[in-house]
Order: sequence, then structure tokens, then C-alpha cells
Amino acid sequence: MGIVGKNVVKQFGSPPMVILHGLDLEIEDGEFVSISGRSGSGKSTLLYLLSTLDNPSDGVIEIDGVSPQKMTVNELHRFRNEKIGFIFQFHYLLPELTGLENVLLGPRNLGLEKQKKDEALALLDQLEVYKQANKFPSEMSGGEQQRVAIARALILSPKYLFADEPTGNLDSVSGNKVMSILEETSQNNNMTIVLVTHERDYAARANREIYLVDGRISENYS
Amino acid sequence: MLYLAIRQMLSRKKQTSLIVLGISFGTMIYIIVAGLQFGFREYLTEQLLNNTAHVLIKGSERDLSEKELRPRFFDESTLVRWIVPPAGKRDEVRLVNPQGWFQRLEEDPDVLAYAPRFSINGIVSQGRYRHSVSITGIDPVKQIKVTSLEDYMEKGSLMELDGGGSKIVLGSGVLETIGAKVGDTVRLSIGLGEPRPYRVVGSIHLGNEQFDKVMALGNIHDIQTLNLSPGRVSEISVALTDINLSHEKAALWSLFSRDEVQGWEEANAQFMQMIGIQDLMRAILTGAILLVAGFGIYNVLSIMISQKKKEIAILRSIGYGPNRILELFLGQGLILGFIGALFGILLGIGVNLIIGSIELSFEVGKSNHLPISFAPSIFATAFAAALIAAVIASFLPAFSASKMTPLDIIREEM
Ligand SMILES: Nc1ncnc2c1ncn2[C@@H]1O[C@H](COP(=O)(O)OP(=O)(O)OP(=O)(O)O)[C@@H](O)[C@H]1O
Ligand SMILES: [Mg+2]
Repeated sequence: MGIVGKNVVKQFGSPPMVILHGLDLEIEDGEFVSISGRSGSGKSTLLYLLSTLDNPSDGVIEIDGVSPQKMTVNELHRFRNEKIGFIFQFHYLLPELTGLENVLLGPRNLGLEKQKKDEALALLDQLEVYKQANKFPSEMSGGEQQRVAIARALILSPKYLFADEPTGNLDSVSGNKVMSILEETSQNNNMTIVLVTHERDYAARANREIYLVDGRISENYS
Repeated sequence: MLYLAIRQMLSRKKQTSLIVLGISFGTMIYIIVAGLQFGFREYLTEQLLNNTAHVLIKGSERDLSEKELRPRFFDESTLVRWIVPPAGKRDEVRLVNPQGWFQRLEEDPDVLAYAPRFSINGIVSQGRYRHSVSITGIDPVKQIKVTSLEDYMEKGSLMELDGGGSKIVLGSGVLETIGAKVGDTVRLSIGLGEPRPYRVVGSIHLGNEQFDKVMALGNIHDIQTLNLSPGRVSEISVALTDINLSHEKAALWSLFSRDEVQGWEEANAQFMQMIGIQDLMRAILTGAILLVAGFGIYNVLSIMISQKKKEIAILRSIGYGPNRILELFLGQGLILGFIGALFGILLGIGVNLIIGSIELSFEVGKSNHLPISFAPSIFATAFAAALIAAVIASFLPAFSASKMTPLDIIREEM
């Protein structure tokens, strides 16, 4: 099943400005794919389309065998809740909640916060932010916040993980840590990961690289 | 979502408590004003109902005519030409045909009880002290069924007037003025003939100087005899089985007779008007409170939502749908309204208890405290008003928050 895009077009505004020019791509289950390219090349736009957050102007996208466009609002949110994890460049932890509570937001929406608590703590431990479980985001460093956010994305073992520049705001040590976590998750949990990054080194650590140039997939990496 | 709503409110304690305080304050003011208004209204209604029956039948005021007066001053044969013809009202009003009324009331199934009265002005005296009074002859057995006058007897009972025999009940103010007490014998004069002795068998205290200083009650037959007008009746109080029939019944009965028939509302048109004005005032006040409370909630939530867009985007991407986002903010508005209203009601009750415990230098009814109503309807109204304002005020921002898509927010933030 995986994620399939056929002739995916995205344009904005009027007169329409075409950002993605009829992309065809397929990401298989368990694959770790990176999307890279220059700023403005359409990386984020493509990621939002693949991850149900946005709909294409033309063409079809199917994820896990279904088209997000055809889901009802409730089905869509249920799908995100159970099958998708997001990591953004800005960590976006809820400031009123502790690290652990933030991690348990997804399970809570399904009524599973109690069952998942131990797992959440184990995950935080694994990501080396166990000490931050009962701290509020304002008491954590940027790297720690990002790792708590990763724990939040992983807690329900989603089938698909989408990350948009997760290392963008971090120094190289923290960035490396995040990349290692993604690699491990990909290997150990058979998760499908789509990573957007403009750093060539990180992009290269994926199983497969998709390189965008002005909204088109380029075969030639330069 | 309640959990997150509460967490979000707790994390901004200052804002939250200010809004709660605002809502409580508004609710409290309403409780105080309504408590005082309804308290006074209950008191006045009771006072009025003591003296006004559901339906009152009374002799209509009649103009004096020149024809009626002429024989009093001149004999038949004199030809009189008035320079200014005499004009005026009869001092005394009486029913045209009291017996006819008694029969009609007796037969009407909607009539619970009725009591005829005959009133004249007179002067009571004891020793050197004289005081003018309004003497009302009553039939005690019937009167007790129509009004609660008996409840206001300080000493003795209205029933002692039953059967007649030169007995009288005086207002507490009257007794004080002439320096008499229950058991004494006073003299009563109405301008006709010699003053006659009456034994004071009771005193009545309505807590209203207007009445207490002029009231004298006697047996109706005694008073009729004293006035040399046996069988004369000035008015009949009627108690109906249902007070809401009073207007209808009065309208019907007034067709039968020249006498004036008034329902409770007509008889107290001024009072009803005052009630209307009070209701209007309270409605305006309630509106103002709702507006202030609502505006506060609206502002706080709107500001908060614009500051929390990123978090809304995150929640949406985690799988919290638009309805959950709506719940999150609507919930906060409702909690603010609920706590504010509850707190305000408690404050209002507290203040009203304090106001009600102040000892006044004058009497209101049976005590010297301000009458304050603690009717449940006041609290229900205040509570509902605060909550409705909270719902409306928080729905608008909450709804707009639920309509934001994560993508709009993420793009906007970058
Ligand atoms: N909502 C929008 N309306 C109009 N233009 C948009 C919108 N979203 C994106 N764009 C445009 O589409 C192009 C691609 O944007 P996108 O965010 O996908 O780039 P990117 O590759 O992620 O860049 P970066 O590395 O800077 O994040 C940009 O030129 C951007 O201005
Ligand atoms: Mg981008």
C-alpha cells in the first residue's frame, strides 16, 4: 500500500502559480525517504500533501490505500490519530502540559492515556529525556523539546511518520541525535518515514532520496 | 477536552480570575437588586392584599347636584337662582343595592368568600386627647376569610367584634396618640349625636403608619347604627377561588350595577405600574451585566486563541478534530461562566444577608429589617443569564478556532 502520488499538481493563488508540476511518486511501507531541495522548491508543500494535511489541486494521492480527500472530517482525524505521526521544525509542545502529558495527547484522544503511560515513559527514557517527563516545555532546551515532540509522534507506533525539518532549529549534536532516532525507528519498527530536510548529509542517511528542483523531481543531485 | 481546558485556564490565573470576578460581580449586583426589588414587592403585595381584595365592589363617587341640595337649605316653594351653582362630591360612598350583591356573590361558584364593610370618618377621644380616625365596620367572621388582617392583631382578636356590643379595635398608632390601651373605654363620635363609649378589645399593627395611625375597626352593625344608616355598605371585598380571575370577574360584574367593580390589578394600577418599571430596570441591568460578562469572555478567548494557533495546529495534526477544538474553547467559556455565576450568587446571598440584618430606625412590616427576597427564581435567572452569556460569548471565538486548518496555521507561522 504505502503512499502513492499520481500526477500531483499544487498551485496557489490567482492567477495560479504552480508549485508542484504533476509529480509521480511511490513510497513503500517501511521505507525511509528524504525529500530535499533548495528553499522554495516545494518540499513542505509536498509533505503536507502526502501527509493528509493538504489536498492537491490536481492528481491523486493515496495513503494506506485510501484518498484523504474522500474521508469525512472524523475519519480523517481518526486516521491521523492512529496512523500518522508528525514532527515539525518548531516543536509546538503545549506549554500548559508537562513532557509526559504532551506525549500522551494522542492516546488521550483515544481514551488510552492510562495504558500508554509506561510506554511513554520508556520512550522518553529511550530518547534520553526521561528527566523531562514532569517538566514543562519552558523548562526544557530546544533539543529536549524536539525529542519530547518525537516521543509524542511515536507513542502510538504510527504506520507513517512525517518530519518537516526536524533538525532545522537544533545544533549539530542535537540534530545528529534526532537523525539517529529516525534511523533506529525506521529499522526497528518498520515505520514509513518521510523526512524533509535541506541538509544533504541528513538526506543521504535515508533509504531513498527525492530531490526537488522547482517543483519537479530531479534525477540529478547537484 | 475538559482537562486541557482547565489546564489552559489555570496557566493564566490572572486573566481567568479577573473574568470570573467580573462575572461574579455582575451576578452579585443582579442578586442584590432583584432581592431588594422582589422583597419590597412581596411586602407591598401583602400589604395591599390585606386591604384590597381580589375584587373590590364599591359605591361609585357621585357628584352633588343642585337639585339634591336645594331642599336642605330652602323650602319647596322658594324659587332659587344660584349665582354659582353648588358642585362637589359626596363625602360618603355607598353601594346602591348591597342585598343584591350578597345574593349574586353567594351564588357564584368562583367566589370563595366576601366581606361587606362600612366606613365613615370619626373622632376617638379619651380624656383630653382627641384623634380623628377612619372607622370601618366589618363582619369579623367574613372579613377573616377575605384578608389576613387577623395576623396583624397585636392584642386581642377581630373575633371579639362578633355580635357587636360597643366594642372597637384600634390601630396601634391611634392608641398611642390618645394614650389608651386595650381594655380601656374610649369615646367615639361621628358628628351625629353625642359621643358614645366603646371598649377597646384589641389593637392592630400593620407596620405602616398610614394605617396604624388612623385605623378603627368595629362591628358593621354597630357602625351602621352609629351613623343612623342601617344596612348601608360602602364596599364589599371578594376573595375568588383563583386570583387570576379577578380582572375577568370585575369586568363582568360591573355590567350589572352602577357600583364600581375593580379587579386587583385595576385597584392597584399604580403599584402594577411600579412593578412594570422595576421589571424594566432589572431587564436593562441584566442586559448590561450580560454584555459586560460576555464581552470579557469573548475578549479573553479571542486573544487566547490567536496566541494558541500553533497548538491548535498540533492538536489537529495529532487527530483532534474541529469539534474537539470547539469543545476546548467553549468549555473554557462555560467554566468561566459557571464559576463566575456560582461565586456571584454566593456573594450576592452574603451581601443580601448583611443588608437584611441591618437594624433600621423605622418599621417595615412586622420587623425593622429591609425585606429581601431569596426566591429561588432570582438565583435561577442570574445563573441562567451568566451561563447563556458565557455560551454565546465563547461560541464565536471557539467556532472560528475550530474552523482553522492546521495548514493555514503552519503556513501563517512560517
Ligand atoms: N499558501 C501558499 N500560498 C502561496 N504560495 C505558497 C503557499 N505555500 C507555499 N507557497 C509557495 O510555494 C513555494 C514552495 O514552498 P514550500 O514551503 O513548499 O518550500 P520549501 O521547499 O519547504 O522551502 P523551505 O526550505 O524554505 O521550507 C514557495 O515559493 C512558497 O512561497
Ligand atoms: Mg519548508
